[in-house]
Amino acid sequence: MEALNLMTLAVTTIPSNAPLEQAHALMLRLGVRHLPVLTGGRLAGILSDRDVLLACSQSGDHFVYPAVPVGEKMASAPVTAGIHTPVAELANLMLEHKIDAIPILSHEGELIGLVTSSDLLRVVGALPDSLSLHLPPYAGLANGAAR
Amino acid sequence: MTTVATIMSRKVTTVPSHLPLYDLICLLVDSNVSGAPVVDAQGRAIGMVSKSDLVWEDHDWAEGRRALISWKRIAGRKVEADEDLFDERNLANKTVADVMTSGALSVLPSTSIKEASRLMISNRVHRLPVVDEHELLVGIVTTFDVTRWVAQADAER
Repeated sequence: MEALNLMTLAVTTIPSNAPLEQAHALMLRLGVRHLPVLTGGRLAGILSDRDVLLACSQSGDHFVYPAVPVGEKMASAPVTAGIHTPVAELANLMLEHKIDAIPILSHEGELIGLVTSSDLLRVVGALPDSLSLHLPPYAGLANGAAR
Repeated sequence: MTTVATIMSRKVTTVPSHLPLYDLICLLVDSNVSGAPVVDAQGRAIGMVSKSDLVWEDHDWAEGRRALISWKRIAGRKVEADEDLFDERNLANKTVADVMTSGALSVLPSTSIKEASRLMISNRVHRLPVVDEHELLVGIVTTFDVTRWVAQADAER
């Protein structure tokens, strides 16, 4: 199984010069926690809801967004993968870089999708009972493990 | 299929429901975990509390995104000094019971990883307590554990 099989296509993006508040409003409306950020149509970074929260200050019960563009608070040069990246490698990238979302790029370097840790859960949740989808037991604990 | 027992963590940081929020935040930061099962005096799992619960007002990722309250920032930021943690005005008198997700959402060690993954997706959570037949907590399974399991896949076999 490859990125192609589990990524969210037509993922919503935000331009790097958009205000932070607009990005957060978009996340809330869509119910997503990550937005790929584009500069000149190319992937420039990824913005998480955590990035937004950390950038904000508070005034009483209200949340105050700094008047800065998304590009200033995003994680630049994000880890990316291709459409044929195997699912195990996507999982490894998430673990290695402690990230929850990986933009998927075409051969030409254009953003075409996004894979999140929730997508991994969906894949595992859809596995047929009779077949472990070539996923061995977690290494190191395999002895005698129920399969 | 492989069971939860194979991938779950057995050493689990747990909290009682009467723990003050301030102590909870310190604990989550100190133990570098993003959530902990809430247990009663007998060790039965009675709920779950996570950093997400501290970020959204009504403690529900699915419904609570619009609600903003003042201590979300405290929970969301990287805490570097103790004094950054404590906003007396907002946290005083609150306990784990005020923010925890209560309920019976849990799995058995014999539950398949597939079923656990489905439960996490449908309930929009990233961790589940693992309990025995007496509802005593025996472990915790998280999105991270499932990701690690997938990462071990012999993808091209």
